[in-house]
Amino acid sequence: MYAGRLIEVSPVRDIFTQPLHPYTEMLIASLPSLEQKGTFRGIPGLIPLLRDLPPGCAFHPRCPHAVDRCRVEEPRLREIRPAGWAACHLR
Amino acid sequence: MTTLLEARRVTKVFGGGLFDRGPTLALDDFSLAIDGDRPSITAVVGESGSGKTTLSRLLLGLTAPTGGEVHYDGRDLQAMSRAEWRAFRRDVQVIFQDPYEVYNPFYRVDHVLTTPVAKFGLASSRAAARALIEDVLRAVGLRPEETLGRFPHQLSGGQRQRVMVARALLLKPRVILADEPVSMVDASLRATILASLRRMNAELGISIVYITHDLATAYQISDNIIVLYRGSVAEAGDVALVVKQPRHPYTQLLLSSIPQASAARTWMTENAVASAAVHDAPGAGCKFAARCPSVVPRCRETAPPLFQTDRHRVVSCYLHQNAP
Repeated sequence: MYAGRLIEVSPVRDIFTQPLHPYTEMLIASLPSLEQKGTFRGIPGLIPLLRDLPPGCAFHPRCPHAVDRCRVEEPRLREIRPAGWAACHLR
Repeated sequence: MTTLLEARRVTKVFGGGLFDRGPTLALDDFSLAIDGDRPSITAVVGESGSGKTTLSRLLLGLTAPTGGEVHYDGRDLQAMSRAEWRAFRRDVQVIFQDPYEVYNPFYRVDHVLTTPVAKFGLASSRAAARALIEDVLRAVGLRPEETLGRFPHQLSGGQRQRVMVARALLLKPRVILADEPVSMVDASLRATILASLRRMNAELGISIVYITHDLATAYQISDNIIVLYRGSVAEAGDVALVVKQPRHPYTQLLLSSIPQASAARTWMTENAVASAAVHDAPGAGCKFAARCPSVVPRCRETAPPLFQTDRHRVVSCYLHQNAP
């Protein structure tokens, strides 16, 4: 979930190996690893205020892949692969 | 080397009064030195009940050791003059685990920032104070206009904790003691807050003592690590050595019980010996003996001292007494 909306639904293994949504991907990248030092980083920016959500995709101000469409149209949750749902225009 | 903050063979015993069932040894002959010339990040890692909170209270001078001394700039914390104590309180800042408990719910969050500015005379005017506060808020990734003027309950947990980091920064301290600063925030914020601690260390030369139960974040941000077990040091030294080639059976156990978000690695469950609730064997001996898979009779008789196994590591275990 992000800013009050479902953004990805997948079996737990798939989420970790092949996340569909950029937010999921960045959240997993912020987990500290014991394998390699200096690899974890947080997601830049802040969670938006719920009473003042950005237009389009609520994650677009923090998303490194955002395109024009993300800024105007809110993505709907779609089935991207069997049992894997995500709300992202880029999928 | 000038030592900035130092614990010299500190022991802390609680209880043992008339109606107590017996004294609790919270910290046992613990030593730590924070170098003033080369700012570093030192992690103190231990599970619940290992003495982490007692250690932070001792390092802050909030409680007096039963044995040993804690020194700041060469002065015993328990024997400081008012002026020295005031300097200490400015130079050594703390970030606590729960960013809710620190705030008074009746005051706006500004209060925790304006108080130190006034108390330590950090700014000459209201405008200068405001500018200073906005600077430190931006330094921890907060937007001042979205933060100031609000009440604590109007901010998220991560925002409240970042205000605490900002407050610590405000005083330009030499040491920040961070006691479980990220155990109540999500993964992204945890990484962000820890990254800002590391930046303060690298850019502002602030030494950091990072107290945590989490070996993975300790590995990520610190230079040195101290692994505590029931108030005693099990293993200490260079963080890469300790995490990559742990020598003490307890460190090995801790490392194997960390869940990793990687498909390649399955989570090894703690073995039965390790997870059983075991009470301290009365008297002498290694405290870990009851849970240790490599225990020998000697471990139950005399507690092992710290053996130097590498140039940058010590281990309190007889398995390593003959290390080169």
